[in-house]
Amino acid sequence: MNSITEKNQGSEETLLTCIVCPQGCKLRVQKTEGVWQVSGEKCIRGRDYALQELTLPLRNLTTSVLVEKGTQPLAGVRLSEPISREKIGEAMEFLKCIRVEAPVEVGQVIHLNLLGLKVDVVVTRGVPRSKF
Amino acid sequence: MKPIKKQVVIIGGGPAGLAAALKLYELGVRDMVILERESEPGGILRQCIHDGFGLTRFRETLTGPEYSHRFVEQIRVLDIPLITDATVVSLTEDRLVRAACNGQMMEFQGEAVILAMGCRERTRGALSIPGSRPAGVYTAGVAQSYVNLHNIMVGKEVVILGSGDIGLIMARRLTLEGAKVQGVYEIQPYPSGLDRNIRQCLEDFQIPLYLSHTVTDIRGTRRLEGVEVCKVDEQRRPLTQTARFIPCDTLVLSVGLIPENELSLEGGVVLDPHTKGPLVDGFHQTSVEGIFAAGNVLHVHDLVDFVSLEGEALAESVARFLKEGTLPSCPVQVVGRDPLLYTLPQRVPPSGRVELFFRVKRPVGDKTLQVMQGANLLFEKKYREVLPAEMEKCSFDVFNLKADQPLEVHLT
Repeated sequence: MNSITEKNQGSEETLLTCIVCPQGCKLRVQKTEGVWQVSGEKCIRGRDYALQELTLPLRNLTTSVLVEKGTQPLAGVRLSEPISREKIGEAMEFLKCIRVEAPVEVGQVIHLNLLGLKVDVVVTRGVPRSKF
Repeated sequence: MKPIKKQVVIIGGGPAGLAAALKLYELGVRDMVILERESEPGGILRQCIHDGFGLTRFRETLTGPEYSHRFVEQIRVLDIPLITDATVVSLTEDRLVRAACNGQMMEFQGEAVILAMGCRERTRGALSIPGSRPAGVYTAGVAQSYVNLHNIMVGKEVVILGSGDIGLIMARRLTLEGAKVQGVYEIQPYPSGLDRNIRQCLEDFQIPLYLSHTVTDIRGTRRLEGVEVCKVDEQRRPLTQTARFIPCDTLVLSVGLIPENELSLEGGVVLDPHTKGPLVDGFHQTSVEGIFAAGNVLHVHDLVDFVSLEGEALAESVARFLKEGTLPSCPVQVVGRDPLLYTLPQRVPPSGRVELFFRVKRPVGDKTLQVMQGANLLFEKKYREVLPAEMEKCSFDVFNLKADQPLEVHLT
């Protein structure tokens, strides 16, 4: 189970599973009088994740965008950085409306500053130009 | 038609085949060919547009295609022969490979053949789910291929059977593309996939997970109209009094992956019923001399990073095989005991480094892995928690083992 919070005499304890890497460390976050303490992490990314998750959860978005004049209809894309989890829906709505023209290469930035969130849209699976 | 002679014929241009080819090149082997069934190499990575790949190998979280690109680019730069749209239709014990390539038949005679065909999905038919046969029932990988490669949406109201990672990933993917995923049903009392995927694919989207449940009926004439789900008991038998009807137009099945070994059997390769892949020795060589196997065709992996390592280890063995004409014999059997589902390789040499892979049948905690030959303890390692969803790996050295006594692997 993820994210169970228990409150007990002025301190809060939350248990959550880290999603940064497949190890999925079980993290325990204690908040006592405004001071956070993380335990259970096997690396510093876990600690950062825990604190971020309990203040402003971030998620990356991996999806596809429509390609014109390509050998395939879709390119794979990702965001250059994670964004607020609450903005994912809006990001999807925007990306569904984009069209890019082939060829597009892996690593190519096809849109800057998505939704003004200072993250870019990067191609993960490229599409060559169609000969026809 | 005279067969084309090649030192190495690699069947499959997915992560295992690509890693093996690049490593072979690095070790000085040039005379090889990769035969890939699809029109682009990369295997299953092409359609896995989510991230989480490459964390151990590259220390970055890459999407499937980005991970694959790193290998495919190298193959292109080094001009390693790769034939796409080539379906291998037969393999003999003498390592003759016949393939249908773009409308013509081609034959290759390999000194060594590498099996890297990957795996396929368990189907509705294999589970014998009762009911009619309407459109709208897909395995998760097929649904993923439709959505991520072909720009075809599979449905609007979705039920997912199986909480393996592929099912969880598709729960998220379909939701992002506008479908309503009613729920994920899992026959076991615990999820099959990783906790992190329960979190980021189900909890993030408030998709409920029903453990100890299964689908007991499929209804609909031309298109799926709904499924019946039931709670199950400890023996996974449906408790019919708990049956509920869930209206939906799409059923996605994520109920297991099976190594694809039809060609292997044709080539006389002996399979292990526990892995459903070839029996291999410590050099990734199968029961047929000169035929090697790595990747999902050998045993289903969780992390592509391990697949690449396996392909590279195999390449080292193949290079040695080509140079010396043979490989050291591996007479020592390796046997895994409950709760181990399997251990791999199944045979090791009497002396050398052993890289042991294993999976458990059910979740276990606070166990010690012990490798024994008779009463001799050769290796020991503690594990806090081992899950069926996570393949484990450990290595140790052996020296002068008895050839006629098996290594027993215990997890107690």
